[in-house]
Amino acid sequence: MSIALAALAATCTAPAFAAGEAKNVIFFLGDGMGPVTVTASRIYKYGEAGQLTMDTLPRTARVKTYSLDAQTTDSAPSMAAYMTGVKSRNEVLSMDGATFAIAPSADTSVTPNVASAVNNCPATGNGAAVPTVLEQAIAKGKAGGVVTTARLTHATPAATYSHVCHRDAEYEIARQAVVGGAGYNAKLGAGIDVLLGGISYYWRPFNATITPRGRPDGRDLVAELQAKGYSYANDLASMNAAPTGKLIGLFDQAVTEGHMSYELDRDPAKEPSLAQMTLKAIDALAKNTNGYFLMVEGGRIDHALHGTNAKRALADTIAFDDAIKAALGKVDLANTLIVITADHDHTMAFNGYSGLGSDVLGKSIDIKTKAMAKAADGLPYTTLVFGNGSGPRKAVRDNLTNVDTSVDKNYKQEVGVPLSSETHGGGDVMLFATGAGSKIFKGTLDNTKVNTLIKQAFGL
Amino acid sequence: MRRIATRGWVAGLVVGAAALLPAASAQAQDADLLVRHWSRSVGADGITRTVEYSERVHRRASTLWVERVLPAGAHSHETHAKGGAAHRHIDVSTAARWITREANGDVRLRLVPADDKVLVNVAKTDYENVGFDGSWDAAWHLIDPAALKRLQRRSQVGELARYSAKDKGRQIDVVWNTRGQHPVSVASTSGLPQRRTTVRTIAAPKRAPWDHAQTLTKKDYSDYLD
Repeated sequence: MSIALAALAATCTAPAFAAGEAKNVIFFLGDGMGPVTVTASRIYKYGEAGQLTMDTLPRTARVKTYSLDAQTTDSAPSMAAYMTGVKSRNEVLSMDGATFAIAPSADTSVTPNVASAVNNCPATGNGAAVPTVLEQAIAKGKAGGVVTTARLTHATPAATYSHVCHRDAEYEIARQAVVGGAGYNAKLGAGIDVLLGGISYYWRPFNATITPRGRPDGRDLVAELQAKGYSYANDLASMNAAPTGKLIGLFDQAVTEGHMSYELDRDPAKEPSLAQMTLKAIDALAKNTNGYFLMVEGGRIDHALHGTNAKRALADTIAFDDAIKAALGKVDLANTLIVITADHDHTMAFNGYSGLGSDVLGKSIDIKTKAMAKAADGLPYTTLVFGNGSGPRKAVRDNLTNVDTSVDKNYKQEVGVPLSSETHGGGDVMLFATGAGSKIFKGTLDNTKVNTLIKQAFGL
Repeated sequence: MRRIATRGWVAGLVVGAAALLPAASAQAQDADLLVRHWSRSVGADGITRTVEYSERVHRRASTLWVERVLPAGAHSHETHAKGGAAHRHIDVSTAARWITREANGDVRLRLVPADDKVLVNVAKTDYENVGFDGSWDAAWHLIDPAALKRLQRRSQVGELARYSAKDKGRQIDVVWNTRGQHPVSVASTSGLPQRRTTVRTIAAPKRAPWDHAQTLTKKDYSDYLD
């Protein structure tokens, strides 16, 4: 008996993995991609019994996403928790718990004024920066990359490479990425190797006519990066043509939206997909023999959900899943860890008891009668609905009988509580992992614990 | 845009109609209007719901301003600032809508949140998110004038033309101001729900609201997506 117990104890204390076995880490973040969005996207593309690529990963966990001061987080502290292992207040990017969010203000030194161009975070006395996985990887001689369909200065990508007390200070965030320039985040060493995402005006100088939301400080950060050896891409062709060295890509094809295009609106001849950007980044980063850290964000899933626009949200989730598929087809899982998760949930929910095989974007179908199910007011309703959201106030619910809620990519699902815009949800999110060091990702994890596990697997 | 009748209701009525509308050139009618919306419905749950609100509409050749009439003090700047510190937001229901038609025919929508000192540009892909269908004609005329073609013209007295249609128990009545190119009243009923919109002329503002709006700090709708 005593021998058996000793053997059991030895088994339990033996390490479940070899620390630092992952030479490379790719962290995929589906912004706002809660469990319902994952399920609905699976049904949308592959049917109830089908599988997303992320579904096929062998390691799974669920993640608690609350921030330091909120049950329901925004993307800044939740991504920062993954990147730093520290909880912070809503709106704060990769700073410690002593930091309070102070919003930037408009720069009135130019006409027209430029919103949020003055960073109001004090240099001292408002918390301290916390190292990110990207910085720690660079410190170990690894390469680093950031890829997103949101704008490159948005909260999720910004949490990897910048430290600031408010996510809206995007003009400040941009300059932290520019190696050798004023305000550079020196912990990025010789600079992030690959930066791909939306919107150039945070990186270009102000011009009242051409770039009225450009930088009031007059700096051309793209030119500064080019002077440091970066290639610059602004469309699919120039991205493909860029050599596999340092690269910044800023895509303005959907500049009026402030981000890259939704997948359903993207012109595939002009604007790269998330999968194409991911592969381009891997090609560049893999040149570093010490390995790399790459963050890939499906940034617009969240935006479509805020708009209670399920179809665009599901299509962008599929594009995100396709990027995962592309990466899995390229990397060696013997030395590469793949982690996929979301930063927070949303309020989308399945409604009613639609029969198997029903169009998930369509109306709820009664499983017995095969007719449209009716709400208490006698009107049909969609399978996907939102707990809250915006839109015109209506005295009477629209009669959806003759509305094709599936084909119309602009269709907005109905909401419960009317708010100015749909909010994030506070529920747990899913995590999927595979590859080197992935065995440790299991159970119900705090989002800060995910950072701990990534660093363990990565040997940081 | 907050159009007077829903697409399904008007478009669903198929009534013989001639080309009743004056030529499009008559569109260039300045107008300052108060539009009052009222509707009542009863659900299968037996609950009767009544909704009522008003909007001020200021209309010039290529510019349209639509502003909800809000109760005094309901949207203080301090309240918005406080909310914004915790979580950024824009109340699209109460924000004034500045719609313009550009020289190339494109329609542009900007929002001015109630008592928030910013001008928010809305991209076309976000129109549905703020309840705008992108139709200049429907916004400018308050209803889509093409819908009138599906109604029967019953009479005209002075500059007021009366249109109506009945179909499967549904009735819609429109009084159309042919000079102003906007409805004076729209009523629709199908038992319940009932909808009624009345439009009356008000004084022009001393200063066009868009003159002030274009001096505000610019933001994009995407700045409010987190």
